Amino acid sequence: MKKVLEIKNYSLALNVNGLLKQAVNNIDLYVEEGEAVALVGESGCGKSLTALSIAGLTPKKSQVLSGEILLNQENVLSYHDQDWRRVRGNEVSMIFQEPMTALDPLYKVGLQIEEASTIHGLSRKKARVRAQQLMEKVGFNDIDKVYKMYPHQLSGGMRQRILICIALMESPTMLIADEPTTALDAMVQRQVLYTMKDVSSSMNTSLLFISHDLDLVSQVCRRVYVMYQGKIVESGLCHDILVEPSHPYTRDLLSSMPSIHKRGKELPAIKGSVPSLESRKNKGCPFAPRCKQAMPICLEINPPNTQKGTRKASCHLLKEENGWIPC
Amino acid sequence: MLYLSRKLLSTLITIILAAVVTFLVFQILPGDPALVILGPNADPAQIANLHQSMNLDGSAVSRFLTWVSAAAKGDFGTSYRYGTSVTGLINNAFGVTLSLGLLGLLLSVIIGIPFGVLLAKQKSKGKGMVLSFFSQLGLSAPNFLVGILLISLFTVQIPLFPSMGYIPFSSSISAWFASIFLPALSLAVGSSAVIVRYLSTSIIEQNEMDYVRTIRATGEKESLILYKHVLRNSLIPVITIFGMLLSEVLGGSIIIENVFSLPGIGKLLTSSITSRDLPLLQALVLYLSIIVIVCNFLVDVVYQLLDPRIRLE
Amino acid sequence: MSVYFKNKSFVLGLIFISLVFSLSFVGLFYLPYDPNQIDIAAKLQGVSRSHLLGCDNLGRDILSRLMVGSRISISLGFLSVALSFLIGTPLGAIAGYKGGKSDEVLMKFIDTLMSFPGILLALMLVAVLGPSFTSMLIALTLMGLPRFARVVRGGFLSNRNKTYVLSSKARGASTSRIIWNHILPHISIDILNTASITFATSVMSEAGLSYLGLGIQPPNPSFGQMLSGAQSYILIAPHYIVSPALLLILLVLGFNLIGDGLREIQQ
Repeated sequence: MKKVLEIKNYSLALNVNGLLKQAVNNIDLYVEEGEAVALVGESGCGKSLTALSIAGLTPKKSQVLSGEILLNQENVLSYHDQDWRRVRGNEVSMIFQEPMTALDPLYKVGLQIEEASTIHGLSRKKARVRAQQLMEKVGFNDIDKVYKMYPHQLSGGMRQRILICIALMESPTMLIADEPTTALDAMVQRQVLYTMKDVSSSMNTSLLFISHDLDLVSQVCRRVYVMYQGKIVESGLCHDILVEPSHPYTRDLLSSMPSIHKRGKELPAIKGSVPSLESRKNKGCPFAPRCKQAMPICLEINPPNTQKGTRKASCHLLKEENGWIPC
Repeated sequence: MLYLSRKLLSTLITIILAAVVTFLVFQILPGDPALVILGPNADPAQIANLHQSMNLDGSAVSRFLTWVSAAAKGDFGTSYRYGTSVTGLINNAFGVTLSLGLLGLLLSVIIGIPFGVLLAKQKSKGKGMVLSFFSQLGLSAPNFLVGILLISLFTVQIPLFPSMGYIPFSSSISAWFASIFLPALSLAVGSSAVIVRYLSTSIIEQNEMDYVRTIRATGEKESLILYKHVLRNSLIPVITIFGMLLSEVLGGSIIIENVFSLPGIGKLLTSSITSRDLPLLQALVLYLSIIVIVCNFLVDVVYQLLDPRIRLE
Repeated sequence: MSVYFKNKSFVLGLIFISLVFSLSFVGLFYLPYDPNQIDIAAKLQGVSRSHLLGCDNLGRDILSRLMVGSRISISLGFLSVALSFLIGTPLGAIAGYKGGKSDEVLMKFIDTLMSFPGILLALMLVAVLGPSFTSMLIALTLMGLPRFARVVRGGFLSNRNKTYVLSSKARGASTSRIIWNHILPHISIDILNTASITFATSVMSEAGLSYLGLGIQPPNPSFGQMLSGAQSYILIAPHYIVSPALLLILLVLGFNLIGDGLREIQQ
């Protein structure tokens, strides 16, 4: 299957008060055509920055240290403004966490959806037709009425669905969704989630879903990458990982999430907290300080990247004799 | 609709309060207006007669009510100094001040908006600081000083404009323009600086907003993001200071009319103070305050219309 | 403290006003000449070693006149800002903190005051009380009052429902404690900024009024007066207008820059 997105050995640093601090650390990631992949981790692990890098929206005070990001086989890290204007909307689209403030308050929402295509050359008339078609796909009932409304007249879930329409107007190869449901109510979350999955797969648009909720993403994504402190610590098929996580961090992440099955039991928390960008060290495994199974070697040497079948993880506990081959 | 009618009521109350304040202030005016007119050696009987005819004998409240009821019909009495109807004097002077004020505001906007955008766009510290400094300078130079400077530069050194006097619009458009351009520019320097600063701050704020990121992600050109989206959103808060700008322009025109010898309301005001022309003075003060109050109300209405978040409440 | 001095606007503004302040301070103890002494022989004399800033049309030493004139502007500025602050702040605090009826009534009063453009207020007072230091002081106070009231009210309105205030209330803190210890520190920079800018406005307004002849009366020197007098000689004796103009702008600009700096620091 063709890879629409391939991130190779990508590292990004942030300029914090004059010092460069590495926020994303040599990550490898790919998404195939039509696939839905998740990137999961706690706040501050670098997942949002990775997502922003793919769309060229990283903050000004950041610097690429290494690697390539191949979007449809082209390295976007070498892109200039004109390239981005061509590619955004067409090949890659992005939606963000906070729908309440993501739309221009002065324009009717229908017009804003249209604009996503008119800026790429489509006529107003055709854009309007396409916009309304998309609105139907995402589940709006009273399309004519909603079309003429202003953002403040719509609920959070409705606004997020408008944003999905905007993102998909030009049928991009890839849609990146950065915590799109986090700010929504639980019930609306699921609606928006499935809408996103259904519409994008009907258009053969790949989906890269960023979240902190492993359980949530497993409902729509086939594969998942687990990220901690700028590094990808584990990756593989969602369902496999949920059942049998290989990396201690993934294990802790899963066990600390509330679910129906754990009702009545005390919720374990991961010891410690994510260290700030400034205090990160580059020696050894990033999770070692908080890992219950940490060994002395974990604090000294970076664990190698190993692979077992469809699963990849980097942890000193994963031995070669158990099938973990270095890759 | 409800909001609008409540605002209208509030505005009317403010107008009434302004009238009360105006009346109160001038009723403490020391000195006898009759003496001013008749001279210090006047006959006491004549003074008493004049008192009666000028209605200076009633109680404060009755005098206030008489004044207000006449004013509401447009009759502000007779000027002590000129002997003609106050309303007539104001009407003659009004056109001048109106031209000056409108042109002043227009110039402020024409100068202020582009420079505001420019200042907001500055990425390099150097250029940005220079522009910012100049806008501060514009705020800090008193308008009459700017006027004096403009007079010496553009009427004497380079005789482009007349240094004083006013030619009405009806006589000759070009002469009219020439006679109020420099005065209006003097006013515009300060007000445009205010707009530059407010607008640039507003634009910088808006640029950080989430919706800008959404639009950028669709592949829109940066310049169009600015002009189609950010600028519109940034101008809305700027409109809220228009009332204050107008107040400044009106106040400024009082001085500027004196600098350029324009026969407007400001000139009338200053001369009515020196000649202690009470009816004229009182009328002028009320007149000016009502203009400010009404314009503030209009600005409010426009603001409501422009922001759909408020309009559709 | 050091963060204030790192801000360029703040420092530059401070330098500017220090220049003018020191000039006027020196003037308290030493004046090169009697500022009102007329010397027709020295009429419009330019910059020279005996008259550092030259002479005006009546041969009076410009430097001495500026040293005294700036003193008057500065004292008017300080006093009026202090009074505006003392009266405006409590009004704004009550309006902002209590809200409701008191807010409406107080704001009506402020709105009415604001419907008279600043200069107009000053002219009204001059008309009634005659031109003097006192009438100017009252006028400038009335002009600055609404600004303080508005800023303080705004600060209280936005802070009174903030979490830190609510948690103080929940712990039983008294109203005055909340106002003094909690809210006021948060808006102190806003207040300082307002004070700075109001000072600048006061100096400018006083200059404007004196220019019209309705402010500080001759022979007491003032910026506005000197500018009015210098107007006619701008081409034949530019030194006459340049010094008062520069000094006035320096003073006003200085305060505006300080206000700017304070705002930047807050962000």
